[in-house]
Amino acid sequence: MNDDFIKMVEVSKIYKDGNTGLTAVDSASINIPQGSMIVITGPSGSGKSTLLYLIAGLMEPTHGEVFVNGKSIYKLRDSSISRLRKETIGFVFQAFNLIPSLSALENIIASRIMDQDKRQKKAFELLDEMGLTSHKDHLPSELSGGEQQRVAIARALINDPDIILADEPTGNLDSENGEIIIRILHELNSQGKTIIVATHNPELFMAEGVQKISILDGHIEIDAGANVYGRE
Amino acid sequence: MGENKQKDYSDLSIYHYIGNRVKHYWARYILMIITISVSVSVLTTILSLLFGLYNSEIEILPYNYEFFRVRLSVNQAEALARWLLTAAGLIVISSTAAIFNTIRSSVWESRKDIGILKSIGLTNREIGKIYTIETLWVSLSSWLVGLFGGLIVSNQFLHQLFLGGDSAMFFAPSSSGFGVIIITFIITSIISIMGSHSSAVMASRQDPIAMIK
Repeated sequence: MNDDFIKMVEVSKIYKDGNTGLTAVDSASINIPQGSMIVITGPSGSGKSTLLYLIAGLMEPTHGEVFVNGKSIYKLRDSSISRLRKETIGFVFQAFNLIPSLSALENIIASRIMDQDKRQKKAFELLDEMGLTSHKDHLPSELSGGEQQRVAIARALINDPDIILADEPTGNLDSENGEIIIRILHELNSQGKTIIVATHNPELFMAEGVQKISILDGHIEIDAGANVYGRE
Repeated sequence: MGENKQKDYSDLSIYHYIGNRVKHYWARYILMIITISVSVSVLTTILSLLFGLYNSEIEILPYNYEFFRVRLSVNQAEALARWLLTAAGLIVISSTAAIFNTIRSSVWESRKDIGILKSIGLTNREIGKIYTIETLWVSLSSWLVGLFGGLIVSNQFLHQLFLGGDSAMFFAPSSSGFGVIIITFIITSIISIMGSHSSAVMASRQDPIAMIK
């Protein structure tokens, strides 16, 4: 077990808007152990999504460093950070972000376009697990929100990543579909995956072993007793 | 059964991806092909006129040259050629600019898909390759359509203008024709690659999230 599997050191993100700047994340320093399940909570606009994007290598911080498995990810070359996004981190967006011109199955294996091995066996297994086998040829526009979110989760899992980041994964779903997604994320965590979920409904995800980080106006607060730790 | 289904998708490749995009965004691609074809047609017409003036057709100018029923002297014919050359230069510049801009905005319109591809682990180089192939495929199809249209227009125009309606040269292969084909092909290819490359570079400088949003 790696206690510093994900490490943020004095990370800030300031969105520039003309001459002014909006601080979304302010000097965040946290360590997340491998295999943990973390819920990041806070009101809308508090910086939850930004924190996830920073960990996922999707958005360069204004200051500070993000380490994943000991590598400072924003110091990596384009090809290396892309490999990290492909093989180590799976990201699930609130708005699904499926490619509209590709079917459900093609979206799942989209990251393998350039590869000889399309991992189709794995894709079919994931479709089966997500209950989407009969929808494999459907375009995203032909799927419900819950189905699209399950395709997005399958896409995040196709390369068997160690880390799953989910940004409000139940935000656009009804309660039934929301429960399915929550169950899937808990199952993945029980298989040893590190799961980080940003949500404004933490109670939906709380269970034994799940730890909570609160964020307000870009400042992080870690619940007492949590295995995650921050620095002053 | 399951095995067969899996084989159906063994070809999810760049070409499969591009094919799906063309099917899905067909209206955008038709508009793009029309815009580029028109530009290529204009290029073809003006280059054919120039080639015509400076190759075989120019020989008839000094003796019995009529331009819209006005008889021209040698000096006047040469002045006309210079004027056409200047106009051609401007038209060539604006046509290439139109092709460049069409390609660039087409790739730029795909920035959300590019952002998604980046977020799931494709490198800038891989994405650049996909969109360069797509752009070349679309622009060279447009080049074929535009060339055909431009050659018809220019041949009709040329024989009306210089040969008094004698249709002997209509569609006849000539050194002028081959020159026009090669030049328009080179211009279209280079401009397409430059257009898609500049968009890809612009996209690669952005975080995936900035492109998705």
